[in-house]
Amino acid sequence: MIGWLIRRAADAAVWAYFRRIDSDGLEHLPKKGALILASNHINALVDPLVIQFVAPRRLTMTAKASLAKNPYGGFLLWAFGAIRFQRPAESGVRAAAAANRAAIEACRARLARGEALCVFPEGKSHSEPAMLPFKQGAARIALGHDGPVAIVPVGLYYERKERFRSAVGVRFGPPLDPLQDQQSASELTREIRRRIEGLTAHFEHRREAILADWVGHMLASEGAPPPALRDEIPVTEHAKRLQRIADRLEQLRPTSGPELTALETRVAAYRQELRRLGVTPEEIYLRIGWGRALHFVIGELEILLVGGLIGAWGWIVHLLPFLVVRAVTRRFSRERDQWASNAICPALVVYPFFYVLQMVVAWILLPVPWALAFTLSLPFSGLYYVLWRDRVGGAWRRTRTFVRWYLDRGLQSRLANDGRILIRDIMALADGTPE
Amino acid sequence: MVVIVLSFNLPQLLGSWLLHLGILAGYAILMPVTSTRATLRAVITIGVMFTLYFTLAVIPFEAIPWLADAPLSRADEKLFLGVNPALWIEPHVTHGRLEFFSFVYALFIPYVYLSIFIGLVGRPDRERTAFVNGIALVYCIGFLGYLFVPARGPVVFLASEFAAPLQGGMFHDTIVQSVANCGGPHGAFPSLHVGVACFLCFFDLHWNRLRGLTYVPVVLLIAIATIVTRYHYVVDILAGAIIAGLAYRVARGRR
Repeated sequence: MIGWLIRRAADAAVWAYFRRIDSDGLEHLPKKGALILASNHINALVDPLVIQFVAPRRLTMTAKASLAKNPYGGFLLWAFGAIRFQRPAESGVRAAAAANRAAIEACRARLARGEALCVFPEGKSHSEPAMLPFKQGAARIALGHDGPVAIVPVGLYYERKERFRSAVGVRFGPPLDPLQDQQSASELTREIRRRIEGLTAHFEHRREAILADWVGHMLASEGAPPPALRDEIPVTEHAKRLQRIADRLEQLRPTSGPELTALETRVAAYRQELRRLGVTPEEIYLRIGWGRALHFVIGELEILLVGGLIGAWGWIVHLLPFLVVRAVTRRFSRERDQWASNAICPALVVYPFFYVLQMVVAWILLPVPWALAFTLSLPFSGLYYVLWRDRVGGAWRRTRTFVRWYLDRGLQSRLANDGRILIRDIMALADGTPE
Repeated sequence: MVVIVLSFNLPQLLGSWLLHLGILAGYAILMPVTSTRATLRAVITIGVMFTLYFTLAVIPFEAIPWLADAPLSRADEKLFLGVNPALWIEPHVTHGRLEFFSFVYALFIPYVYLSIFIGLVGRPDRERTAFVNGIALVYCIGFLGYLFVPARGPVVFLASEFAAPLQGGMFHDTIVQSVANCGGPHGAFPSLHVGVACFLCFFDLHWNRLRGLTYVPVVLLIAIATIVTRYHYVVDILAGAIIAGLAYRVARGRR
């Protein structure tokens, strides 16, 4: 029961933390039978939670045992039924080897019961632009399992993983059958890596990754006006585009080094100018017409005013737990891949605690109908507030851009022209490979 | 239909058509190049629905030889284990609450018109078609109820059982006047206030989630308001919500 509650709370926390959670390739997940999901690992504890959020069946997590040193971490591992692996650096080579043999057996026992495992072959979370070397645990689990098991590669992509209300995309690839395809653990590990690489983008440097991300947004805009605020492009589409850009970059680097460098310099300068103006690549092509502006204002004002009441209520009743979680997150987060975990994990207990506290006070002080209304309003207004906040933020940014372009049509025209030329040159260099 | 349209309440009919022509003109000004034909079709469909709504006040009561108030009221009592909700709620309706719920009841009009405006302007064609199909279906099924289950609602049927008529302020007087202008209480089953509001909410929850969520509390309050103001039985509300769900499923399927 506690495990079930924590898992539901984790789903709610993941939903609230991310603005969008898009998935792709869910049809590759077998509905039943032994299954291993092997994923890249770039956002600590959030990675398994996000995969579990989109997966249609319950997953058994694997985690490093050192998480249990912290009592709360230990509680979460217990609640999720996670299987713990030791790291040699933390517990010594022999002790780790013995413990991990037992953990692998535990994984095989779960597979024998037809369950699904979620493993991260890199072994630890990181913020590098490319994947770390793979460990062979996943392959050994699969090869030692008696009976059929499917290994499904998973590619995770985070828009800005350290930022609240950013977006995440989860891509599932076609399953591979370890008994048919591979012989040894090392061969199977290489194949798993190749499959995950096929679902993620890899770069040599972080700067290159940032520029490629920007180029992805530029290409997605296609030099056309941005979609309505409620019609975002799925993150998985951007992840695919980014992967194609990364692949093409790798192909071009040996043959077109100077052209590539020149183009990178131009993209960087363009990006810097847009960032200084606070404009996204899509908004450069915003249409400036009073009819459209009026329609936009009517729609957004309605949300702002009618929804403002619910949004304000949601903000008031969630402010205290939000501040507590934010303080904890800031206190304990050092690396980029820690922020989301350090926000979501405390939220699993802080928000329910404040909910219970407020409900107790409400049921003591208020008549039954009002107490009931208050109780129902808590989750609804919280859910509403995060959506309302995103929308108002987007509307404000777009309004500011509209006014900026309206006052300086020449600037918009120049930037739009520069953007289209850049897109054309990128496409020419890439020979049309990225769409 | 032509007979109905020509026979009743010409000023309101003209008003209704002028409103929709206004929407069309507004659209033409705002979005001069996008799918004028589709929009024209949408505006005409909704115009016809609204015209029927305004003109169906009297016909069923003259053409159909029965009134459905008694069975509807009995259904309410069965639903609430022998208690009539319209009578039960009476002592809880203070002057302030009546004014509040009258205001909520009146909110339906700006909600539906704003939704239609947003539904017709600036949407992709397929989405607009789904919207128009759905809303037309809600009205069509609702009109069948108006025609074959004619009822005037608790405000008329239970008038003698209430301790006193409702005494509100500005907002209540306004809705009483508006209902009188539409031919008096009629068309209780199903509640199109709830049916249309639910459909708009369901539709937005799918295509424009934030707007849908924004109006969830409003739709719930509208449903309560129809009971508080004595215009509907609870079964009318349930029927309205079911019709909305059905229309939404059909509209979504025809995307």
